[in-house]
Amino acid sequence: MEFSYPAEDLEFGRKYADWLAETVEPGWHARHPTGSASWYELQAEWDRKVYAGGWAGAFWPKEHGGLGLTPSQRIIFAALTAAADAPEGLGKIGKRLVAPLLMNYGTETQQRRHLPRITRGEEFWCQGFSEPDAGSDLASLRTRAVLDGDHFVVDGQKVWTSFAKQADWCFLLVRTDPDARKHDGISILLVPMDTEGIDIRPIKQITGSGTFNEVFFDDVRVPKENLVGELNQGWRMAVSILAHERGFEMAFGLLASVNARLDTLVRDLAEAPRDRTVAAATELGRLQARYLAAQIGAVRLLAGEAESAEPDELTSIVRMQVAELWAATTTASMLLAGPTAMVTDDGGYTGDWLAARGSTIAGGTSEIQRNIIARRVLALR
Amino acid sequence: MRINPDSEETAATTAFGDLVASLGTTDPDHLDAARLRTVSAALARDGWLEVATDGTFTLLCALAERAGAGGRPFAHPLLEGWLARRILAALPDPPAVAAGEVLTVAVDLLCGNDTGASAGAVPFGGIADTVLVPVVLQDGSARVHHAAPGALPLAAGLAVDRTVPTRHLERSAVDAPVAGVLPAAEVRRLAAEYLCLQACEIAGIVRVLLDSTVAHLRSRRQFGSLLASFQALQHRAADLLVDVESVRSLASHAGWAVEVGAPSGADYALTAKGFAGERGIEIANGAIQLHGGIGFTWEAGLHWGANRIAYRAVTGRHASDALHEAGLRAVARGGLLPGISPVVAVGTS
Repeated sequence: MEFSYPAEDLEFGRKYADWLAETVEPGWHARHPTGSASWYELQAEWDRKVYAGGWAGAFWPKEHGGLGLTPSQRIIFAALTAAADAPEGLGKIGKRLVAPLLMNYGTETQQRRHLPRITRGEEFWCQGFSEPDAGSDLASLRTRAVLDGDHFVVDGQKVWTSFAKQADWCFLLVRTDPDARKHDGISILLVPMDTEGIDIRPIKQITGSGTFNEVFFDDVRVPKENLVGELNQGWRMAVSILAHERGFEMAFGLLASVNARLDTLVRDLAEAPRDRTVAAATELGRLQARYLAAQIGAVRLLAGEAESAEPDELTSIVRMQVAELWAATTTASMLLAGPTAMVTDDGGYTGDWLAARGSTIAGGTSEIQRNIIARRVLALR
Repeated sequence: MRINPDSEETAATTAFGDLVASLGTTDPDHLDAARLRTVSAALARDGWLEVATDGTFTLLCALAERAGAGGRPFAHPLLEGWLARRILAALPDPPAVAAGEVLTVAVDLLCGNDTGASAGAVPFGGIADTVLVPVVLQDGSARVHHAAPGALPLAAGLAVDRTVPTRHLERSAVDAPVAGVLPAAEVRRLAAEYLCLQACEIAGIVRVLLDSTVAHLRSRRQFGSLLASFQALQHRAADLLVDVESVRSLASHAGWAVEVGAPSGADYALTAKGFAGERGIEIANGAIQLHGGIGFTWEAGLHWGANRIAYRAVTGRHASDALHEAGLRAVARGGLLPGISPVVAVGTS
C-alpha cells in the first residue's frame, strides 16, 4: 500500500469502490460525446445515482445533509472517484459552488429550498458571472438589477455560461448600485431559468462541441427574497465562490485527466519502437513528477478545506499546478506519442490538446492566478 | 502521508538551524580537515550526527531541508555523514566510529550514477577522516570498503561548488579494508535515502532563493516604483513559488514513502531528486534574473545556493537521468505511480 489509511476508512473506500465499479458505465466518454444530448442525460442521471447510492454530499457537513467524512475519507473518496473515471454530474455547479454559497451566506429558507434538491439531483444550476466586457476583470460587470417593489428587474448579458439550457436556476452576479465603487455595488441573485425575458444562445467551442452559452436578460423579474446575503455585498461572496471553483474537486478532476492521458501514453510507448520510448522517457518522468507534486498539493488543499470554510492561499498555487500540468501534459503527450496521436478517431490526444486550452482560462486565467499569488501570497504590490 | 510536521519535528529543526547558524559560514579557501573536525564536534555534542540512526528518516529529511535553508549552504558532509552512519548501521559487524568522526561516502557508486570512466564523486573526499566506498556487485549487493582518503585512488573532482571540495574515485576496484556487505535491498534503500536527502536540501535552498528574490522586489525601485509593482516580475515570482512548493512537496513526500517502505519508495526518490535538481536550477536562474545586475554580483551571494543545487543535481544520480529512469519504469509498469490512491480490492466489501 502506498499510503497509510485507517482500516475503517479503507472499509469505507472498499464500499465506495464497489459501488463505482457497479455504477460507472465503461467507455461512457466515447459513447456520449461532450455536449451531446445523451451526454447531458448521462450527467443528470449520474447525480441521481449518486444520491440513490447514498454518496451525495460527500464533501458537505452533516448539518446540511452531507456525509460528514473524515479528512482521510475525503481523500479516499476523491481519489477513488477520479480513478474510476466517474462522470462529474450535471449538478456539479450546484454542489461545488451554490451549496457553499448558500451554506455560508444564504437564508434558512434558501438553504431548505435548494440544498436537498441539489443533493438529490433534482435541481441543476448554471453560473452567471462573466460578461462580454467583464472576463478577467469580473468586477466591471454591467448586468443591472433594479429594485421595483417586491422584485429586482434584471437587464444585461452573461457569457461562457455552461449548462444554461439544462439548468433550472442561475446564481447571477448583478450590479445593484451603479454609483458605488465597482467592487462595492455588486449583489448575487438566485434566478429561475424559466423566468420570462431570459434568452439562451449556445456557443460552439474550439473542440467543435461544447457546453457554453450566452444568456440575455431582458426585464427579468426576480423576487427580492432571492437575494443572497446583503445587498451590494456580492463581491466578497463571489471571490469566495471563485476560490471554491478552483478548489480540490477541480484539482482532483484535472489530475484524473492527467493520469488517464499519461497512462494512455505509457501504453502506447510500450508498443512503440524502442528509440521513441527512450526519447520520451525523460519528459514522461518530468510530467509524472509534476503530477505527483500537484497531487500532494491537492491533498493539502482538501485537508485545509476540511478545517476551514474558506479556501486559502494554497488554492491558487494548486490551481496553477494542475491547470498548467494538464495543458502541458496534453501537448507533450501528443508530440511524444508520435504518429499514433494523429490517427486516433476518438478525439484522444488531439482532442484533449485543444480541450485542455480551456483549463488555463476558465474560472480565472493562469495570469489572474499569478496576480493572486504575487499580490496575496508574496505581498508583491 | 503527512500533511504538516509535528511540533517535535519543528522544535528539532529549529534547534538544528540555530546551531548551524551559530557555526558561521566557511570560507572555501579555509575549508580543511581541521574545520570539518571542529564543526563535526559541535554537531556531535548536540546529537546531530547520531540522529542519523537515532531519529526517523523523515526527521533527517526535515533537517536536510533546514540545512539548505540556512542562507549560505552548509559546508560540511552532513548528508554524507548521515548516510555513512546508516550504511554502517546496516552492516552485521561494522567498524567502530568515533563520536565526531568526519565520514563521507562514494555516493555516485552507491546510487548508480553514470560518470563515465571514473567511479564517481566523493564529496569532501580529500579532507574527511574516513571514506566509505560501496562497490555494488552484480547481484545488487554492495561490498563496503572503508579507508582514510590517502589510502584510496582519489583524483581532483567536481569544482562547481567550492563549499563541497570533491574528489573523484578513479576506479571502483579499491584495495582497502572491507567493513561488510550490504544486501541488495539495503543498497536500494540507502541509495533512495540519499536522493531524498539531496532533494530536501535543494528544497531548502530554493526557498532561500525565493525569499531573497521577493525581498529584493519589495525594496528596489525603478521607473519611480517598487519592482514588486511590475506585473511581468510578479508573474515570474509567482511561477517561482509554484515551483518551490512543488519541489518541497515531492521531496518531503518521497522521504516519507522511503521511510515507511512503500513499494514505490525508490521511484519517488528518483522522481523527487530529478525534479528538485532540474527545477532547482531553473529556480536559481529565475532568482538571479529577478535580482537584475545585483544578482550577477558575488556580493549578492546567489551563486552559493545556485552552485549547491547544480552540485546536487549531477551527483548521487544525475537529475535528468533520474527522471529518465522514472519514465522508463512507468512504461515498464504500464502506468504512473499510484500516488495517493488507496489500494482497495473491488468486490471485497
